[in-house]
Amino acid sequence: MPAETDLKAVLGGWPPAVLDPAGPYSEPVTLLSWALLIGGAVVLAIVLAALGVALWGAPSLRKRLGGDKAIWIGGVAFPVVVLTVLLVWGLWLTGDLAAKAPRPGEMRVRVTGEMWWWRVSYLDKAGRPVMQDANELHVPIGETVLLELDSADVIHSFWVPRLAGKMDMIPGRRNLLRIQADQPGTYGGQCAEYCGGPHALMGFAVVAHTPESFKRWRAGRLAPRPAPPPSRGQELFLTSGCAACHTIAGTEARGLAGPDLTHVGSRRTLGAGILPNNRGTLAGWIADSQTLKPGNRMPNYKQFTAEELNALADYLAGLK
Amino acid sequence: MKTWAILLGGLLVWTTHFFGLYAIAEIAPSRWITVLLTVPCLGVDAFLLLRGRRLEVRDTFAGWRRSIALGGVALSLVAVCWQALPPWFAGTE
Amino acid sequence: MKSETGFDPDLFNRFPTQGDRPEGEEEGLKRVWCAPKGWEYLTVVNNNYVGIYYLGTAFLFFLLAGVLGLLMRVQLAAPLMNVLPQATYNQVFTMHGTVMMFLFAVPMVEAAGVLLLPQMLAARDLPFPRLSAYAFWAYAVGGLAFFGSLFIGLAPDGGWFMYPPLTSKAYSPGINTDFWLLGIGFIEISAIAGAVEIIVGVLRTRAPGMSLDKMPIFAWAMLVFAVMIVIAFPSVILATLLLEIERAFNWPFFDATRGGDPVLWQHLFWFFGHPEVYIIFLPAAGMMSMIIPTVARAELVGYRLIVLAMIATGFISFGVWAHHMFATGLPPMTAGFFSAASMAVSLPAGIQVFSWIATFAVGKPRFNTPGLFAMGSVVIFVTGGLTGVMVALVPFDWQAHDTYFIVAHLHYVLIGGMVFPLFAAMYYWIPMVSRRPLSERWGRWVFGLMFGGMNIAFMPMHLSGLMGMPRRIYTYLPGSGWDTLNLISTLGAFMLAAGVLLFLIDMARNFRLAPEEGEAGNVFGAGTLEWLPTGLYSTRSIPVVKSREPLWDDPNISEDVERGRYFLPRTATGRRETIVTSPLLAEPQYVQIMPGPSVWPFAAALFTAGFFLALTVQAYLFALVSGVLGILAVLCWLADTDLPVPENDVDIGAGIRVPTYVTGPQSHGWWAMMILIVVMGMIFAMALFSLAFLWGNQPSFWTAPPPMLEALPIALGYLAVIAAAWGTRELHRIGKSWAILPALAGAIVAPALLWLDIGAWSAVTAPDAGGQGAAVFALFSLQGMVAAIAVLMALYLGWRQLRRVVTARRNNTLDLTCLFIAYTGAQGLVGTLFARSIGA
Repeated sequence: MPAETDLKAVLGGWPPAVLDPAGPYSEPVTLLSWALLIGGAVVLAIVLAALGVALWGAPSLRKRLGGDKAIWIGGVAFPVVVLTVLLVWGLWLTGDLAAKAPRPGEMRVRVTGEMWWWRVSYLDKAGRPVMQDANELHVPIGETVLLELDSADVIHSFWVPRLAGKMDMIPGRRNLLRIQADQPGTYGGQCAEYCGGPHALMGFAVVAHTPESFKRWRAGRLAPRPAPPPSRGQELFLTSGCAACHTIAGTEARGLAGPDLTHVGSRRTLGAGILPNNRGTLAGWIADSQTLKPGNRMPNYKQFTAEELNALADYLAGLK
Repeated sequence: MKTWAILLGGLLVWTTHFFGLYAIAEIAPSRWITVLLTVPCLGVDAFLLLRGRRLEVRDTFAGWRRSIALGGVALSLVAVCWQALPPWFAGTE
Repeated sequence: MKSETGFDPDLFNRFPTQGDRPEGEEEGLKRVWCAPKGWEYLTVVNNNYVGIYYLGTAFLFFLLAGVLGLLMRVQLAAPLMNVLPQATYNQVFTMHGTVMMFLFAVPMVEAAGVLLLPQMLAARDLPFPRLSAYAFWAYAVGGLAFFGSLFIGLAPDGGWFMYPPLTSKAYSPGINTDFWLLGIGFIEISAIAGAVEIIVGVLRTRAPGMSLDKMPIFAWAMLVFAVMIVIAFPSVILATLLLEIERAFNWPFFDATRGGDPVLWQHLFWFFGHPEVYIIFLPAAGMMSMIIPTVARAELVGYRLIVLAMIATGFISFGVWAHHMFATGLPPMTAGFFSAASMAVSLPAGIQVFSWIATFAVGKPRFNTPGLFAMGSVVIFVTGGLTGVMVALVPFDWQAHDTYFIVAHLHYVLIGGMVFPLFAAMYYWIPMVSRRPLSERWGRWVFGLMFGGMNIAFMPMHLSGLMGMPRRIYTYLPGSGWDTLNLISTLGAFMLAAGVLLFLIDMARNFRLAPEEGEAGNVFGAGTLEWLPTGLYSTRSIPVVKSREPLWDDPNISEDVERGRYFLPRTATGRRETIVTSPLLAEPQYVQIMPGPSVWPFAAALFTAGFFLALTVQAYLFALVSGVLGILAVLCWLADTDLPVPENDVDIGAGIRVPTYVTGPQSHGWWAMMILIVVMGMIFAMALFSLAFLWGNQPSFWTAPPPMLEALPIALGYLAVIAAAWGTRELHRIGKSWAILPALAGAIVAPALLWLDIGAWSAVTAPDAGGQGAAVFALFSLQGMVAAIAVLMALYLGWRQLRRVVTARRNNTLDLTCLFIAYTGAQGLVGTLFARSIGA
């Protein structure tokens, strides 16, 4: 089973992600959240105080509480005032944060929820896919990124709490979500809509780069790749059935059912955010992914010898 | 029937308003169409409020009926006003 | 006071009558309402028994689902635990939610209504006792079979909300999902049956003089509850039908690749699902409003406001369903409307909370166990209500939705709003049915453990949710920072469970059912009618009600009632009977003769269960046999009802005479049929909405419907069906012996018209061709079902005519059959025109 790793950076920990915003699409919600949490605590205290007075208070105080007037004030008038303010605030934020059509020049990425991983497809200005990845989304800091959220099978929900609220990925629809990170770093997320089986193990990371580093990363990804020298690992990959589901650019592996592995060696995690990515975990995943992530769509490949597994892991880890 | 109409009048206005707004949002989202719905609903509520105040209170039942009617209109007024806000603050897209 | 029915209210002043009643009257009542022996416990229909069975079964499901909750808490106590494997956990959390919502909460409050309402209203029984018995048995047998699916690993695993496409055949090929649809099918049947019972019971069988403004607040709550069921449940009935049809016959209602839309399911499910929360909460709030005045020894402050709050909740809760869908990409304006309505629905809740506080303030509150649970409920419910306001705000919900914050919120609302009031109610009302009350000393411990455990279990979940923990996860990774919080939650859950366990032990020690030997009685000094001395026939005589707390305002009332000095101190016709009163002012209208014990409701329930179970496991022949036997059992149960009564009118006390048989809009049967028609109409309306919704969201899959003009003969045909039904009623009224013939003809013509429509549409599309075809043929399926029922009813009417039990001039069976046939025509007409107009 997965061990403790640097996944801590991915999701969870202190402070609570919802209250620790990292960009302009989560920050206003955090402010609202604090207002609601503190306001809610104050109102709870008021109601408890009223209940306490009703039960133990001085007769004069109790008399004030015990009539239709108190009910109208406490049950209607006070809530109407508070709720009107909150409603307007909430509505205004809703309209403000909801993603509409792409802005000119805006970076666009299509993220497709699949059972139980994320297909990531970077689009050009015209909306055509230019590069493929999985379970990891690279963005530059300080600018908005428009996400087009699709589903390939059942309903999933895309949620990176430090960057934005969640948005469902629904078959037959395309929802839009805008995010922006203001600091470089890794921001974790997890599928939030129950999608069966190992829904619990469907993690995700947004990696935010400085503009220069993002440019380098992008250029590296888009550069034509020299064909990798033939290796034992590659041969095994192409002859053992792996290529039926996975694509590795520059080889004959063109399967589309599973994640694109062209850059698998550079990903931070394995199995959609559940394992650190290294040769050891790669080998373990190939041999026995059903123990690591029960129910996932990749069968166990127990037929490989230790030597073969090592060769495959070497090959995959080298796909940077 | 008359008693039920008196008791439920305000809330029936709310129902009309809410489902009307939902239909507008689904079919033809537009601020001004929502106004065309909201204004008459507020008007009917105001009318019910005035009429309700004039309802007689000749026995406990009639008094009770009047309270429920007026309370229902009051809640309806608040809710209809709140429901009128989204087109203006959240936008119509 | 102006009369509602022409009854002279001054006649009420004749009560209480003076002197002693003749010998033998009480024996007569006892004989007619005698207790069952041996096997007869399966045939009882009296609410005193059925209510207890019902409560016991619902509570059993609370315990079972609670154990499932504990299992989940153990699995989540630490990261990567392996107590429940993934597949099992997914079944367990699905069953926990489903059983708690459908098999515990709704039946529990319905059961409380069945047990308490006749007592509170001083009726002898609910108006349709056999229907109650049927509803109970269908629920008990079906519910247990459904729960059993867990032990064979076939329990549903798609979540209690069952979103397609995860639950469609493609992603859930096993029969697990079908078990869910089956289990819910039973609850739908029993909930609707119970709602009919409760609406008619509350509006028509109140004690004379109990006008709407004097009605116990619990009866108000149950009335609103039942009306809400009638409006909300049809939506989930339709949803489950559509999903089962999609799974069984491949009609793509929810398949986006073929012109369906998974979001349609969400609309249908939540249009039921959110009102459902208030369906659960309102009766419990009604209990609170009964218990608190007694605990505080003061009249309920703000009775009118609470009635208003309940009615308002009944309305506004139908405008909040999409707040479960804020993250589905609703346009901001649409989301805003639902956000605004969600704010509005919190006002009635605030009114009720402050009314309870006010009642405590004016009284001298006692800190007995019901009181403690009531106070605890206020604290917990307010907390849940406040987080409810938070998630009603769209931007906050985008963060909190589907996280443990929501798990915390909903448990605060449901435990504070329903479970705690229920425990208060059990401590409060058990002396009404048991020889001994429960222990006060133990009660404090039960309360302490439950209150502490509840807060320890669920308070930390707010935080784990804000820390990013999503719902419905069977495990989580180490280093997520959620471990400590989850461990605390698990400890709290066990503390809560310890409280419930203590309660069970106390029940075993003290609960002794005593329908005949006398109960502990009014130990808390309450003021409402359920605390009158009763036997199996309820009260000896039915009092005239002059205030909301008659026992407080008239110290002699118990004795006068017991000595038969009020209405109906005997059995006037020698059968089971109760007084039917007018809906607003409760003026006596007639004596209803009630059906007695019968094995047929039980048999019908068994065969209903057999039918659905066999369908689920695809034993179609067995299903067919069960279905036919079930229908026969229903006919047998009906056979000895609505028979001619020898006495035209009877003396119900003090020389006041009322009829024993009425027909038309005054009769309780008419009311029940109208409610059933509303249910059918709502199911149909939701199907019309589904068609329009698919057109709006998947227009590219649409083909032009057949021309409207061709529907003209069909439409005229349906109008003729309506006219025929009306004609039969009129002809019977003027005494024509052949009066039923037009209705029979109408019932036979309706399926033929449907056949024509299906023919026209088959040329355009097919049910499995796409969303449009599926939705149109779903309309036709519903029409076919209604038409088949109409044919069955017409045949039954013909059979009664041959038996010569269709009473001359006026007859209820004939009236109700005609009503239903007319409805069949009307539904057919609307369906034909609507289907052809969408996308034309």
